[in-house]
Amino acid sequence: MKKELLDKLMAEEALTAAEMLELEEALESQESAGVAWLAGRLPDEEPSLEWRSRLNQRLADHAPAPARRRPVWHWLAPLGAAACLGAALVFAPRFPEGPAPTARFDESEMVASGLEDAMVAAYTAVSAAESVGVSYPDARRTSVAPTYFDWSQLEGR
Amino acid sequence: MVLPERRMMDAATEEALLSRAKGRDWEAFGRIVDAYQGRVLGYIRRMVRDEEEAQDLAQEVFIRAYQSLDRFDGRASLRTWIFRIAGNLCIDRSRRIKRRPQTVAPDPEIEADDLLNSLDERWRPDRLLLDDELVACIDAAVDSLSDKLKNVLYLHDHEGLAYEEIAQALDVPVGTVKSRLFLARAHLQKQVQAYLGQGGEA
Repeated sequence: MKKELLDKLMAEEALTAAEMLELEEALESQESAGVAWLAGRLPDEEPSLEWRSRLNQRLADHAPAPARRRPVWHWLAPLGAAACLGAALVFAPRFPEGPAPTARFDESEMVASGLEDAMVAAYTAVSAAESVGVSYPDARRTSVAPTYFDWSQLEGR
Repeated sequence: MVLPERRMMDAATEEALLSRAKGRDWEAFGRIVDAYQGRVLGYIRRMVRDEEEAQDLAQEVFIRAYQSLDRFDGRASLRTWIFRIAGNLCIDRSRRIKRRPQTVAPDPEIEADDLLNSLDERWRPDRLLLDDELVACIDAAVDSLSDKLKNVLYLHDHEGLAYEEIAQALDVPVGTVKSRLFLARAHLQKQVQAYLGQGGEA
């Protein structure tokens, strides 16, 4: 190879067609191929497992969270718990939180019936009210007899 | 000397893995890393002298590759693309540490006349017994090259990239790749000849 061409190569100057041809011939020559063969024998660097492990960790930090398929129990358990809670809300006994509601007493029954019927009716009404957690006003109990029962009826018997 | 067997994969396998990796298939990307990790680390190790730094940079290559998989359009081969990332990282590192501007000459002491004297056509290195000592000599000779020459020599003669692929990876004209390769080989030949002390008679 001419020294002028070598100088041009070192200066990275543009080559003429003839010079480029000469360069390509030099690259394909036997001795150049021999050097290439030597360079190709340089061993690769096999990274360690620790290196790979660190790389995996760094990649995982950059990667979006993988969309894993969850096992059946993973979504079945909360679903079952929600169903149980719903059933409990529907079927559980309800306890009043505020002031107890008052039961209405049908006064017409007292007028139409005798003392015995009135007492039975009153007892039934109070029991029914208490069985569902409703308080029955005491005043109403006491007012039932004097208001609606005619004691004179007993004297005439 | 027994060289480690390279984990090569055929084009179809590589394309399939690439397609899966683009869909964020972790395992597929892992297999790509398996195939290239040794070669990338070997390349960077020769571009960066510090072993720990070389290992960090090699990891950075695969992280960058993973992050920019979507932008890989397949115009270059996967191999060219990966080595381009590696090359750019090495260049960035050189700029970062503010090294002196790289000269194309393989060694400031070497003149064109020295290279001319080393170009002996009778030299047949492929007939040499390649022992550990000779490999170390070649390694040292490659190490003494400028980054520009080393880059081209390694990518062409070690990695088997074509002139066009190297030009693409390094973003230089094909003619520049050829001239750098010639200079790198001439320098390497001179160094090995000096080691052998045979004056070109292999």
